[in-house]
Amino acid sequence: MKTLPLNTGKKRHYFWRLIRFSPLLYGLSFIFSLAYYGLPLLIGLIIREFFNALTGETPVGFDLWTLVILFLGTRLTIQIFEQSYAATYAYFEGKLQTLIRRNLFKSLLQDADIHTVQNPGEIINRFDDDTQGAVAPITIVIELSGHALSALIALVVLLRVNAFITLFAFLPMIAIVALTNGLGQRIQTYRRMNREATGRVTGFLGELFGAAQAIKVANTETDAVHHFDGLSEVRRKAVIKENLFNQLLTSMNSTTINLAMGVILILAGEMMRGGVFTVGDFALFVNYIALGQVSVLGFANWLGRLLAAFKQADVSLKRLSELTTDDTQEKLLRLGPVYLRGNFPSVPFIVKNRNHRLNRLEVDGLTYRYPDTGRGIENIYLSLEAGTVTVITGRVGSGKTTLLEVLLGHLPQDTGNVYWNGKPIVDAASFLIPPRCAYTPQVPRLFSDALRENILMGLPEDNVNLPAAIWAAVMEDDLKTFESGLDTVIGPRGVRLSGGQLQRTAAARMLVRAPELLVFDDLSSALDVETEQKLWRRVFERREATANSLPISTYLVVSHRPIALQHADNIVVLKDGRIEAKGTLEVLLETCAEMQRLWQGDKVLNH
Amino acid sequence: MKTPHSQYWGLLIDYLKPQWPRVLLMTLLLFGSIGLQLVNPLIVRHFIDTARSTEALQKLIQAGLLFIGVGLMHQAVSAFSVYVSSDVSWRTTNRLRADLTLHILGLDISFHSTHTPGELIERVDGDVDRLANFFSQFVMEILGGILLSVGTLIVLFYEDWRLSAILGVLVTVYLMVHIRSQLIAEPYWDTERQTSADLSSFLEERLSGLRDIRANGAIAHVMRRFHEVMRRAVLSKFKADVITDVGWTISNIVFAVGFATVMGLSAYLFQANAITIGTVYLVLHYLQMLHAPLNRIQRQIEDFQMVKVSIRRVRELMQTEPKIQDGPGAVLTPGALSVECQNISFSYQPERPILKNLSFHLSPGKVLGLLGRTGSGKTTLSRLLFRLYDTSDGTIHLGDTDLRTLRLSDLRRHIGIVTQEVQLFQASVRDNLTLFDRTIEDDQVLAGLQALGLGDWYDTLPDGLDTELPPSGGGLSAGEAQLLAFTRVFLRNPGLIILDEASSRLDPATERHLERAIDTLLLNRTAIIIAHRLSTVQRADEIMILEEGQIREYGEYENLAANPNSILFGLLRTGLEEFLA
Repeated sequence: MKTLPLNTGKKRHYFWRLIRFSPLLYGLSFIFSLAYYGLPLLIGLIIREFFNALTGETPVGFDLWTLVILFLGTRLTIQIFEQSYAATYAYFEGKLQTLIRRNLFKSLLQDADIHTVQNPGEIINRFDDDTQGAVAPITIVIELSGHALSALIALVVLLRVNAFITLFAFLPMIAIVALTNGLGQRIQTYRRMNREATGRVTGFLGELFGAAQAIKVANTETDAVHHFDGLSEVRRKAVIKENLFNQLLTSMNSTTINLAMGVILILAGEMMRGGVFTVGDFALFVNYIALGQVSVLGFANWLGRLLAAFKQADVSLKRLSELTTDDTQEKLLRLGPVYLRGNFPSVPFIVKNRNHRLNRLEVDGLTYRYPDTGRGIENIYLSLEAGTVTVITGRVGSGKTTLLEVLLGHLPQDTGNVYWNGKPIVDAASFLIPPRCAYTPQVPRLFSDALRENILMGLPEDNVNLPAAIWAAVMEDDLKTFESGLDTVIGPRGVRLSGGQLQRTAAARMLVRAPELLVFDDLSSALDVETEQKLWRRVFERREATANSLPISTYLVVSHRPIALQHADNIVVLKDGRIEAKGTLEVLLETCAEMQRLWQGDKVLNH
Repeated sequence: MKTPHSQYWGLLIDYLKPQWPRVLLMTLLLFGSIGLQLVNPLIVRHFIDTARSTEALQKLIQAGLLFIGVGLMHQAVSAFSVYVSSDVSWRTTNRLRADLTLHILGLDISFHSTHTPGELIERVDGDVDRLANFFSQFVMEILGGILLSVGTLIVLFYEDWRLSAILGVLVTVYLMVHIRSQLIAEPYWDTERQTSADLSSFLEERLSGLRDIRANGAIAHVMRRFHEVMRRAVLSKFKADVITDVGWTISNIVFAVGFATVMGLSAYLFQANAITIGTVYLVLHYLQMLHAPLNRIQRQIEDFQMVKVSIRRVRELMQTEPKIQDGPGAVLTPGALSVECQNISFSYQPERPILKNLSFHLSPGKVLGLLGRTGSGKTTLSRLLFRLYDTSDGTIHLGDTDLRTLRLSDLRRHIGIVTQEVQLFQASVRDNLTLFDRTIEDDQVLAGLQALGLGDWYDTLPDGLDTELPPSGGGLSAGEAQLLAFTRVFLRNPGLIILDEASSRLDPATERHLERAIDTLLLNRTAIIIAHRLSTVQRADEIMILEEGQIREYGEYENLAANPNSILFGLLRTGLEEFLA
């Protein structure tokens, strides 16, 4: 996996960009925050006057009862701002998170290397926690601004009351900021360890629940949970390390407050006796420094938190960017509508026209090797004429599926080109889609929605021929047995369907898109012979039936089934990732030993 | 739906009990830290009164130093207590996570078919995460807050009973108002949890189906669905947040009114010479000091709203009982097992029978080829043998023992299955082969690998059995994965083996390559080979053809293949015709 270093220049850039995303909300939160953190300064002053009025030293002219009423009024005002601040802040945070999540999800859908998305449980974990981590600094800055302003005012007030005590009381603060900064690297390390350990735990849970039946029949529930325990234990240690470290940083803050108070006590004694420093002044110092809602040292605490949050956000952004392919920050932070209000985005329906027409598809020297095993495909040349059926065959592991995935842009090709009507395809993943091309993978996935939704996946039902697709996929009889027909909800990943029904639903999903080029991988592995024959016959009939009007379909098929091979205009035999032979079935059976072996495999069983 | 409070405590106590030494330590640290917290304001009071008297300046400096010392001790005690309590909370919640995971794995397959892995992750990890706080901090914060309040009241009682009384009233009213005002938020957090789980399962499914979405041009559509699900999740969290905050505002106003009252009362008492100025300071200091712990109680109660929802969900899950229960514990003999089905019927939904009155007998060591179309009931039959479901009628005997009299673990130890889909884990090769069973020795594993023809593959592994497989078994070919699945079953040495379309995704050449492995696997064992293709059942002694849940044809392979009137004969011929065409 690639990781991109983040430099600070980029960080600042990302920061401003997210603020620009919703200036009104940001501005409002900002103002509310200033009021919410600034107003409590008045409380300190009121309490000071309260004590001064009691002891009869330098009263400002308010009597005791006026001060009590003033106190109450200030508190109520603070609450009003608190409420407005919290609401604005929550909405702003939700909006930011939606933006990053949307960008991440879209990027995963559009460009991610299929192999990065092999463990959805682990990705969901990043999706939840790391998007929170990534936006945390933005929201903390709002709080920090409130704190900063209120701290500044407080400092000025305290300096005017007694500059000498103020300066000495504040010395410890400088130390804490330096310390927190110095420990920054550690924060990041602990954070990462924690996140990684957590990722392992949730990733394993995902695999485990996905394989529940296998574990049950193997009778190893307890053993699997034992393994899970081991992963949890690693995580516990990582979390506790991080917690303890953070707690030590917090303690340091409290300790500086404590030191400051002690310094005041030591210095103030003589001044109080001389009447230079009143009990009211003392109450004010304590209120601002330690007890009140706003403490001057609280600012240092918040600054520490912001620095920590920036570092944690770096870790989070890095983990998020590992999931995307190229200029990751750019993609993650792209601004756009988040649809928390109003209409949802419309889904465009592209009507097939002559520009989508396929005359010829050529594959020129396509090569791809899996980075971990070195296997893959090498130097593949193909040429598909419109209206033909090409079958790719070969043993398991010969690279058939890999060839389709590289061709369709799901795996990044190392070298080679694919030409559509003679023009090179630049971004296959976004070009080879309906109405040009549709694909059914070897293990098709369905979603826990109604059957109709699974087949249409957003196509307007009025503009497509759903019944024809269902018929061609040999689903019409199954449909009659479902209690709610097309509205039957098929359960997570379609578990309420049989393996064969699942495959045929996926076929219907591809066929209803009526693309120029149909690509399918091992379409009939879960079908019985009779259904299989029906399916292939109907799928190919479609080609003949529609040949007179506009749509002419071209087929690229991975299969080793005789019926598919017999229908092929051209067969490509793959062996160890290379093309072993090409030609019609008749020719290949005479000339190609590998083809004979593949064919014989089926023949043996028929005696 | 309401759960009585005792149930929340029940869960808490059950899981904290084994941690009692740590809990005790945690409690002691708490008492220590509260005592130290009460001392410091008293030092300040003493300081103020001394400063206004004529006593020696020396005493003021001593007070300052004492203040710093007590403060430092308090910090040390607090930090240690955080360490102990987070340790307790992670130990307890990890145990709960494990128990929950085990429980979920024990639930029926029908449960798993209605809950996505994403949703279950959210319930095992997400919900339990919220409990982590509950297990340690909840009690400590609540208990700590109460202790601090009581301590304050006692100290103040010695100063002036009126101050103590009004403070007591204030704290009580404050907490009562707060608990009431927080209840409004509960249903909103309930909704929030659900929408967040919906989001997780949406994402999990779509990410698993990435190829399908891309290749069918459905990205825009899926993004639209994403926004629908996401909007529900974000807005429900926003609502819950805002409503919770209304509760905060109400209680803060109550506190402010209380503070103003105490200001008034202490001013009156000072002017009446009942208390010193230092005591006025002490009262107001204590009151402000109490606000934070009371707020933390408030926050704990606020968290508790979420925790309650999570506990309810955890309990709900724990109380979901599998329908399939252990039998009394009959004993199966090792070695090849006979299989006898007597008039068995089964349906997933009452109106749609899958198996109808099916009977057959398979002698030990024989291989039965089970043919039929998709939906004819072949896989269902294998699920019944494992008791993943129970028959609605009729009985199944394995080695002359009724399945329902066996413990599930005993039953499943004696049967092995290989299906089309091989589930791999991001774990070591050893764990993938033994499925985490530690009782299987490495020697056995290695012997198994050799026997099933994975020896060459094993030699390529950089760390032998410790080599970690990448997520979802990347880098393993389908044939290797299938052999791995065979090895898994082989290691368990069952008396009955079911191959359910085990090789249907393999090409004929690779399939033939596996033949030798299957020979080894089936040696001296009874077997049922489920297939929709003839090729797969070549080795069967007997053939059964299912159609719509009933036996269409059943007999010795040789006899049927030779009988021109049999379906098998016809199938063999169409197969040939297909080939010759």
